[in-house]
Amino acid sequence: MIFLTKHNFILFVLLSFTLIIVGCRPDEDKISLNIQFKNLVADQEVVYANDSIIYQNSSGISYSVRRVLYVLSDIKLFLNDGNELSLDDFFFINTDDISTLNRTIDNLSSECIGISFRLGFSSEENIDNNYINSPNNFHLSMLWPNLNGTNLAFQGGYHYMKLEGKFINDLFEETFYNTHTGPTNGEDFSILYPQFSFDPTSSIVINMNINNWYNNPVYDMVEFGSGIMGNVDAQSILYQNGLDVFTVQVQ
Amino acid sequence: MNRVVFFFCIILCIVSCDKYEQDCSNFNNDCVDNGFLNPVNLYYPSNFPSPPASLDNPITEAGVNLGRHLFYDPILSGDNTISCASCHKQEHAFGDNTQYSFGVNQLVGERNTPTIINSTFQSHFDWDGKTNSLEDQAIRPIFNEIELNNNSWSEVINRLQMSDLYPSLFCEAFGTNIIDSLKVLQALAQFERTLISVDSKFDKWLKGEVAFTDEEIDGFNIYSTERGDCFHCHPIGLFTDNAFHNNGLDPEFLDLGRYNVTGNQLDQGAFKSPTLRNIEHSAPYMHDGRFSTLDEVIEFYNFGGHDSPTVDPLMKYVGIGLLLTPQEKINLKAFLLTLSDDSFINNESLSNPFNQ
Repeated sequence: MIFLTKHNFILFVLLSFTLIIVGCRPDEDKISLNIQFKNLVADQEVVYANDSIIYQNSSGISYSVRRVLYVLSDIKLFLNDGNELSLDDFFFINTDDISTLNRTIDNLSSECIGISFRLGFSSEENIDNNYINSPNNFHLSMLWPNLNGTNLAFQGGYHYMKLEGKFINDLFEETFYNTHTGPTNGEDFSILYPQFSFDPTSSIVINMNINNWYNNPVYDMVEFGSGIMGNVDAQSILYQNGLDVFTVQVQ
Repeated sequence: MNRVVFFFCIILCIVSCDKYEQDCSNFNNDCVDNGFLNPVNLYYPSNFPSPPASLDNPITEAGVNLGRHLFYDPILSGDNTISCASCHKQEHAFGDNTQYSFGVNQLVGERNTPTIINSTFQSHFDWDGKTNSLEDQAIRPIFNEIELNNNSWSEVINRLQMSDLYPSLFCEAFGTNIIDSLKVLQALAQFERTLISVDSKFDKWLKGEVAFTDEEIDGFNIYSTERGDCFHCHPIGLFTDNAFHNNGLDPEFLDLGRYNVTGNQLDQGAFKSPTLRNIEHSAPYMHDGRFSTLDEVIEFYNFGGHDSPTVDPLMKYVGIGLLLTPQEKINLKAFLLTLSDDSFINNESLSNPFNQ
């Protein structure tokens, strides 16, 4: 049996307290990255309402935005210490569900200096029922139909984006539009963006600039009509427009 | 020593009598818990999401059997006249064939009874999604004065506790014949989770077991593309998106629907998309049962719906209409009828146990 002297006992108590304090302290070496998702027109956050037809694209068409849903996959973070982190998960953003408009990634080895991502899923990842149990009702919200070989425009997988609202048509009537992008005809229209770089930070905002979807080249809502999921020409123009829809800023 | 015995008895009584004022003063608990319950495995196709884990309410054969009896037994109503099955009729896809259902004293409900098919895969219940679990969902009708009209759990529990049947069924299901509200709700939810319909002609076609007619194939294409655009709110698989939409039924609303739950102005007039499985059997249609036939429903969507500030943009043919030809409407209906599952409608294990 070991007997502690008074001196050893004090040392033992001090050592124990030190261990407890060190053991319980939050890991201050680890850093988080908070990401907010915003949708802008002319640098202003979108007002989500059918009848708020206050936006105008370069073809002069007035429109509103009721909701935006989209997927970012192949997400990679670039860190200030030279590390790169590829996320296993994808981001599902749905303006009808505010819990999806903010994400935090913990346990980074240093502050973030860049991010890259893909809008939608690559063909290899855009597989029928691949994300059937993902949270936030993702599967049922973004499913792209599989017509079992009876219609080749619809071979399953998932939408990349749903952007919906009203526009004023050439007869000056309010009409709904559904700018839905996805794997029409099984083609890969997903957009892999190069790295967005910024000063070291723990908080960024990913902005989607809605008007860019329609401006360069001009996307004519009247010509393409309300539903475009089976329209390869519309999807091709949206792909080109989509190349510059995102900006990333430090919060 | 006497004080110790006294306090022990008090504690025992508190533990035995649950928070819902159950009267067990004259009850003798002679249930023997053998500690083993046969689990029930749910079978469903790969295009269904996994049911949310319910670790606190695992599905067992005895639990389902108890829930089935409770579901069909008018003992759950205040005057012993109405059961869950009075409005959720198996032959009508566990919905009701009247526009509004009758509760106790022939009082009439305010919305059409929704079907409860494949509920285990869903996370919002009732037309406005006011509850998020099957266990919680059953509470409202039990106490609603125009449905089962009970005043308190204690009166419900007392009826069950004093019956010849239920103490033994609770014993088999939960290892105790002392009944409480939580076990009532859990048993009902267990039975409801077995109401799975996955054996329609459409399911068989997907598996290559049967062929579709040309009409059905064209109908499937109308349904699943923007020609008819049914699939956004009723996606293939569950045939509901588990979400809420204003589908343009009215330019103004008498029933604000989802708004009553969320308080969000954008939700005014929005209701949950119902599953279209067994739609042949679930007439009348819509939250207010305004359409008696499938043909009326198709005509409504072909018209395009009414505009309003909250109508869903997925109703993109408002003011335009789908412009389906008469033959296309026939084809769309032909596809919808492939969602009928007669083996489900006639499944004896889901039927009234008191008739067997």
